[in-house]
Amino acid sequence: MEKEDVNVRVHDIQIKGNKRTKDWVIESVLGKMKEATTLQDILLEAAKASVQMERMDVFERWVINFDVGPPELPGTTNVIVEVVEPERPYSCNVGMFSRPESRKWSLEGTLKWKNLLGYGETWDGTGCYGWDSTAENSVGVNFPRFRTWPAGFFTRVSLLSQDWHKYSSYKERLLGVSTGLIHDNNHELSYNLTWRNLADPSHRASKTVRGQLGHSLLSAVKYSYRLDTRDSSVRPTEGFAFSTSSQIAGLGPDARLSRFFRQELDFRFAVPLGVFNAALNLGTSAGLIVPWGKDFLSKSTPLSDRFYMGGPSCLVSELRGPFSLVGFRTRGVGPRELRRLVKSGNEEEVGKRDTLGGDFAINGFADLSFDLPLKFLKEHDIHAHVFACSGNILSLADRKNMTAQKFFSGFRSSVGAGLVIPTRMFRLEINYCRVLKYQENDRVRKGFQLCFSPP
Amino acid sequence: MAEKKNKGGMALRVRPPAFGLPTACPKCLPSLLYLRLANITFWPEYSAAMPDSDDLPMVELGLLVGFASEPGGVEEFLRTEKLGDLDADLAEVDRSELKAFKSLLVPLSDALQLELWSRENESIAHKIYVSHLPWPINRAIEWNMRRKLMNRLGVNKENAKDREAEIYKCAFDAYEAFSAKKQMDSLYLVSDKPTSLDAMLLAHILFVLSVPLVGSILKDELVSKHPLLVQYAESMKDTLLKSNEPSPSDSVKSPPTSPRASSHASSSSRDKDKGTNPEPKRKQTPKEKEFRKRGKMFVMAQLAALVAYIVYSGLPFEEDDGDDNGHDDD
Repeated sequence: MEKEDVNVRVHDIQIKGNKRTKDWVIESVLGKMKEATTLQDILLEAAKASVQMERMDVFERWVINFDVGPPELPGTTNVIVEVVEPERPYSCNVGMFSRPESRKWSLEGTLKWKNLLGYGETWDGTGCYGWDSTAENSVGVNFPRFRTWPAGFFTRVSLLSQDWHKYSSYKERLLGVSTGLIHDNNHELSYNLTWRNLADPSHRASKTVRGQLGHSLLSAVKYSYRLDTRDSSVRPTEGFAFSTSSQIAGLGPDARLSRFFRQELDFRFAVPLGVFNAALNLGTSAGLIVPWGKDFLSKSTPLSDRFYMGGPSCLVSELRGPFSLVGFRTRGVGPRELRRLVKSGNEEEVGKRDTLGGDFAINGFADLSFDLPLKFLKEHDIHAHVFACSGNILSLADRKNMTAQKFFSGFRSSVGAGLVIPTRMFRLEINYCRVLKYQENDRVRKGFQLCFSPP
Repeated sequence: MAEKKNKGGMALRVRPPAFGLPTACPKCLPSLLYLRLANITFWPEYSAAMPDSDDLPMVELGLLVGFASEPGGVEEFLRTEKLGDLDADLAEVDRSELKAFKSLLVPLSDALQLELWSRENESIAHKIYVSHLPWPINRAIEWNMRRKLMNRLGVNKENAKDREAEIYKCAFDAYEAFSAKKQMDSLYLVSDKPTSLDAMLLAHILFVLSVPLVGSILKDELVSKHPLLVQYAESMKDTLLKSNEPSPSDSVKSPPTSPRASSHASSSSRDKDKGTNPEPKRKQTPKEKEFRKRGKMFVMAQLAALVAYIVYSGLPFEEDDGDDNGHDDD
């Protein structure tokens, strides 16, 4: 069999053990097995089917057996797929988590129900409550295969409230439906319809934020492409990663929809240095959001969709746009505006500013990681790193007076060093940062910082 | 009383204009007329994304802001910041009378809201509050606002007629009191100078007379039985509303990405003029209305087809379940 092809074809596919799951769902996983003409091809398709069955995650166990075909049809085989469906198709998880932005801790609970309708789908309900009164409740369903299409189909209804009061004097409530048609390792295409309501119960907001309070409707299509060839996302030493995300909002005949185009780019590159397991990681990210439609140059972009920079973050592992700039507080970088003056209010509130976000953001970093000369640390892959990062964030309103000199002089920069503790669940960094350059009104955070990022 | 777009001046943020009124919102109009009667220079900014907010109207002067939802509202803010006070020179007796008559404005406001949010005037309320928001959230907000109002007024299906009669009776009594008061004094209600009471009552009467509410009982009552009040409002109308039409460069601040809703900090002074230069709302042609209607039907049809496809896509295969399940060809 190793030296030459063995001619065998599939005569019949039998499915056993499925009480709930539709036969065609399992048959569609088997792909082109019926069209295979050699034993090698059949075994290859069986291996691919195993991977797909695992991804569906609705069976307790499964096995694909091959039996001899009918005697009157030599050179054929019957494929027998035996599955065991779980007795309890539901699961529940509750836990306390720290968000990547590390603003606060949150209590999260997830309830999952698998294969309710027999299409291999997974239903889930998630509730998340943060100590800063942030709440998110969502219900979703994920079809891992949409009929014969290999890509998953998912839809999710979510009700989310976010409290940005501390940084930008507004609270946000979102009620939305998101639907995805393509969702695999590299590509993701989704449509999102979200009703947003921004409010300022404290009456502290600056003029720009006050002008954006109220209701709006987002109707947007988003396409993301991601390619990651790095040997590890927790401690990459070789390879590169590229990510692009394009979003166009305002789809629909109604001119009153929020209309903008948003683009994000990320690039990471890791080079091994050969000694002490050292690696040099370089990366850059950029993002741009522009309104479109009639008189788009005089329009402003929604606060919720602009770029915000700052906050504890792991430079190396995260690929989510120009968000990271170590050494600065959450939403601590970029255009800011004075809040409303309340004469009888708290004196500490006087002079405070709202972060308005930017329409264009760019950042870059260099990170050198290396092992420490302790066996215990090496065994657990705990290593050290030194890094430098820089970034800038601008508003489209500044474009008329912008020059190259102003643009480059507006960059913030910081350096630091620290310890990295990679685990299966997340990457933990304990860093000491020093800010080399910042702009007026930036909120700097010097000294020691903790940072978590998912793998 | 002409507004001046002064960079260092005062802005009054109100709901958009309509029906010949500088703002068609019955809650915002009194504040606008108050500023005009007090000869305070200001320019209007229109906010259409907050139809259900109690914060409007709001007055902005630099970093100082007065919200309608705060105690005393815009009037108290102006008084506290020493920007203007129509009631400053009133004698103690007149001040007491002012407070008493102000309490009569509550039943007038209730009756007006009841008429505005009735089913017959659905399109009027839609135009005033939610016409700048996209479908379907405008319908959802409108439904919620109507529900909240009826709950506040205590009107439901069982007691609608009785409760409405009660509300109108209180409103008619208020009209009687104001008519009697107007007969006694000459130009204004309480003294020989305009007061906050004049601003509020004039706003109510001008709204009732200007907005084409279907089957308006308040309008019939005013016109037929209280000609003095109508005459009082008509005599002030030209003075108060003359310079109120938005300039051609004004536009409505509806959801962000519509004409310049906000300015960024780094260029706030440069963009203030743009931020307060709204365009006049253009009437939709019948073709555009038809296009919008067809567009909505198209989207609904696509969604329905997608849902039907998902739901019914498994049916043809269910017939095969019995044939393939556990049978060997052997």
